[in-house]
Amino acid sequence: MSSIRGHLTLSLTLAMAVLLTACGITVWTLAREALLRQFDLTLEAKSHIIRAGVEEDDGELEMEIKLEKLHGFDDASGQFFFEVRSSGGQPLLQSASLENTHLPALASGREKDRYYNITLPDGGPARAVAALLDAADDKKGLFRNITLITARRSDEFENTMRLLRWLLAATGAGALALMVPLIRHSLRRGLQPLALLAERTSAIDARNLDTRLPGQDSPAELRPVVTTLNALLERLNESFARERRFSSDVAHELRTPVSELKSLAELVTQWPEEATPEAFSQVLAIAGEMETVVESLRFLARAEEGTQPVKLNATALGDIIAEAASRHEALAEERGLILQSAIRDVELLTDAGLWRMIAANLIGNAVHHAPPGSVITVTLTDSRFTVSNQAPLLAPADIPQLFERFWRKDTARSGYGHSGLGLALVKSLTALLAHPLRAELSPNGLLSMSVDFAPAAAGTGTGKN
Amino acid sequence: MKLLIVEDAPRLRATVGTAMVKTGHTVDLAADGPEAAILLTNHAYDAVVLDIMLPGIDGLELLRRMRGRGDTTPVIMLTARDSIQDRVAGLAAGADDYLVKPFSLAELTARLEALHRRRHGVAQPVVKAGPLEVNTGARTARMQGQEISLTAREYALLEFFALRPRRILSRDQIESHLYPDGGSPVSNAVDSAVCQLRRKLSPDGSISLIQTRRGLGYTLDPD
Repeated sequence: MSSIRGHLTLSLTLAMAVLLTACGITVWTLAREALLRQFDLTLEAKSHIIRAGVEEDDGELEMEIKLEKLHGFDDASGQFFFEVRSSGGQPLLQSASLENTHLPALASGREKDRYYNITLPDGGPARAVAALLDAADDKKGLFRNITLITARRSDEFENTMRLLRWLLAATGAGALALMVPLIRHSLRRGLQPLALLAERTSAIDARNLDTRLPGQDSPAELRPVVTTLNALLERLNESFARERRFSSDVAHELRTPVSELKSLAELVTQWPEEATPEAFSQVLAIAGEMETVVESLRFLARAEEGTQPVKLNATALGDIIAEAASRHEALAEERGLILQSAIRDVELLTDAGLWRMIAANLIGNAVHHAPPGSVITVTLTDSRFTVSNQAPLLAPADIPQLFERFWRKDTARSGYGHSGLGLALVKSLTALLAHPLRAELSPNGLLSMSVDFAPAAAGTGTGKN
Repeated sequence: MKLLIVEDAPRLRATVGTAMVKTGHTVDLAADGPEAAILLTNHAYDAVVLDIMLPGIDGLELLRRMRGRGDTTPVIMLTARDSIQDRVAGLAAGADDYLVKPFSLAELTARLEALHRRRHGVAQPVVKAGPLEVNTGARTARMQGQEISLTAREYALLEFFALRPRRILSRDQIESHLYPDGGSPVSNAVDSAVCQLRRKLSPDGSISLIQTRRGLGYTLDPD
């Protein structure tokens, strides 16, 4: 069954059917017991009366006439029967209602003074009770231990019971037939909040992920679902916003160099004298910058997919850091920066190519963003690589965003050579090498970015070898 | 036209600047917000090309300040952001037009000229002043139906007069219009340029369109 309502309707209907049947059987059984007891008490009373009327008279067993004429025993239409048998089972006396037929013999081993069902000579059902007695006035002891069997026709009783059985079955079936629509209606009402939730949820798509499902008016059972769905929507919305921002950032990042290329092309097409070697150098530089952005994005995509290879070799890490620092010296000097290095000779089993990118991006970031005249410190110890520089524009709240793609404190392009992807690359690179990356901003505005590596566990990258 | 181009990407700034100069406009360049703010305070421009994302003071703030002090110079916003919100923000801040990167230099030029014409209440690119016809779209001029050969600077001067008929234009105004920030290195450059233009308009001196107002400057009188 595919719907909860259908499933619950079927289950509840079946349960109700079982319950009603059990109730019906119980009621019928209890009613039968009570009515039967009443029936048997009446029979017992008749038996007592008969018993008192059996007497010996001149060696014959007789019944007082009055008793013989007792209503119910007196003719063939009577409801009551009695028969007195000798201890040997020979019939001695019987009621007129038996019309010279005999009640069935007692089954062997049947206890006396117990009620039991018998079939009358005319085939009708009856209840009977047997009693041992001694005839009254039997001074000679001729009729001792004789058996009195008293019976009562039970057709009407059985008919009443049959009627009760049908009545109960019909009532149960009717109740069940009424219960099905009631159950369906109750379930529809009960499941309405779920249907409403489904309707609201199905109305949410990529364009309205900021929609939140109302939790306060939901039933208690649904509140955890609503809370979870809202949390999921929050994460989805953030994820979509990040993707949109990323696409927009990529477009933005490429639009300015494309603009430059287009304008240059238009300029030299309209004024051929402007097609100078400098113009072509600019075209090359623009293409190089676009290539850097594209390559950085490709690297990030590979790193995220886990397809970026990590090649472990014995590497002189100190040499790599020193080389990266020396490559940025010219730009540092141009910007009036002082580049100080304290680099130890560290041998590490790691991927030299990835470390070159880490060093170049961290030092490059510092050289591009440090205020003119400030000091940049590059330090390599046995277990940590740190680049520190003054960052007066940064606030502590900016630190978590430093490693996001295309994030810049100042959204304007104040120059070339840094696309806003460098620190995102560093984050991916250090993750590949399983080296913790940290950024700290001291109260006096000193930004320190460090990569921790344990020589013993170095190079246990997550990428493929 | 005298233009101010404010763009922080150096190569784009230089290329657009060169193209505008080649087209015959006088161009000042600014790399950031504060530099642009100073130029806008000290000079009158016919139009401004303004990038939104600028170091120092961003383009939108710069534009708000301009409009705040009553400066109605036409402004074309230039940006890499093309969302509706970005466009609305630019236009709401007082921009006259909006161009998304990458743009075409020809389109930028055409839009600047259209803004310039609109500012002077001229719907058509052809401006008439007596026997003179100046086509601001084709950047050509005709005198009594005959096309006149003009240099870029001569055309710029003629257009400056043609769009302001009967108005007295001081030497400073003309110099500021014809030369970039810093003016001409020659002291009588304006007088020489006007003299040269008069000769082009009427080689035999029979028609005197541009007249001297002693102590005040020059005026173009089409009557």
